[in-house]
Amino acid sequence: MLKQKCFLVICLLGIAFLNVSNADNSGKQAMATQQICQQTPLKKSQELIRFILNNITETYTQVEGGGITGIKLVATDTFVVSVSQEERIDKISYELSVDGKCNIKIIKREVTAVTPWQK
Amino acid sequence: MKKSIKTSVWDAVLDTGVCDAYNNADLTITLKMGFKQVNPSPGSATGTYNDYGDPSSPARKIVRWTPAEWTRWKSHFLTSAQKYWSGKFWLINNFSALEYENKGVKYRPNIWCRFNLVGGDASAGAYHHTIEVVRLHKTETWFGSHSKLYDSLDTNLVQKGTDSKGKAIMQRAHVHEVGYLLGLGHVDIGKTHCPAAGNTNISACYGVQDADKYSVMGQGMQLREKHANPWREAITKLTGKGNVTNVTDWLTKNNRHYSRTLIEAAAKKQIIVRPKR
Repeated sequence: MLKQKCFLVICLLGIAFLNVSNADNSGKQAMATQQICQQTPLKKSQELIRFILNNITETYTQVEGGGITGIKLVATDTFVVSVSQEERIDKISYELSVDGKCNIKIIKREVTAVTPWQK
Repeated sequence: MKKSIKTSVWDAVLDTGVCDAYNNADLTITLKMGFKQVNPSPGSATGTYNDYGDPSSPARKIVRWTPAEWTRWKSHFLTSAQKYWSGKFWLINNFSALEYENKGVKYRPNIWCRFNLVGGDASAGAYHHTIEVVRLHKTETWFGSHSKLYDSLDTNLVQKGTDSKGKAIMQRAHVHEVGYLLGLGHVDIGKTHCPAAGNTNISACYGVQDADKYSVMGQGMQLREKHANPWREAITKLTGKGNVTNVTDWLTKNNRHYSRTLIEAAAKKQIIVRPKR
């Protein structure tokens, strides 16, 4: 009986240790993510492009066509997405703001189109 | 009796010889399209061609046209586009024009709008419009075409958009393009989100409200009364009566309206069921 109680206590201690250990890891990861978003241009641009792609899914309803044929950074935190359609290429411009925690907001979104054959 | 006019974008013939107690005058617009093959480099069966014919746009795989496939594509294009646009509108004659007598009764005809789409090889003959056409490789599902450059899939019914309920909006691109060649603009031109003075090819010009999206000059396949404007323009020129900007002149109807006696016309009666005469 005593052996069983000792075994149970040891098990509980072990689980508690593992939980603390996991909590420490996730805390480190969160901190690392914050630092990466703040510090590396690659991570920041990846987050901005993911945000834009999600926004296009929600807002752009002309699903046919040639799909996305370009995503270009044209100014700091401003991207232009090109979507090829019959008769035109839609240009969706996103001016974004992003903080160190990767919270992204749209400052300005504008849809225009170009007709390259009419240059 | 036939009377005709020619413009740079189409020709029109008004035929009053067909008028009788039941039949209106026929107004036929003829559009002549010259098609030109776009093929891979000489000696190659396959190659690539860029969207919109623009070297900076994505390249798509293309295949050389065969005589049989070229003939089949042209025939299908012309037949299906003509069927789509022909005989869909009637214009109500609100003028003392084109009146005739049949078996002692005087009638005023309305106008039945017909469409004649003529096509051939651009190298032979004179056409209102010359169109280049690429034949896409079987692995390609889309090509960036425009009003002067088509592809072999343009006659297919494809999803162009989605309405507010998430339902697919389908369109055959070639009937939209023929509407464009007739002189029609995109559905929302003139609205605040698509100013006529701006770029009328932006996505908003293809319709924002569901009813507009479903228009053939939007993303769909539905005809609207304003799509009769090329015929209204033609009849205005042919008769010297009315003005296209005045909607009550040569008012558009999408079902048959029979010729009226002068008494019926004076009473502004419309005859939509075959009368006993």
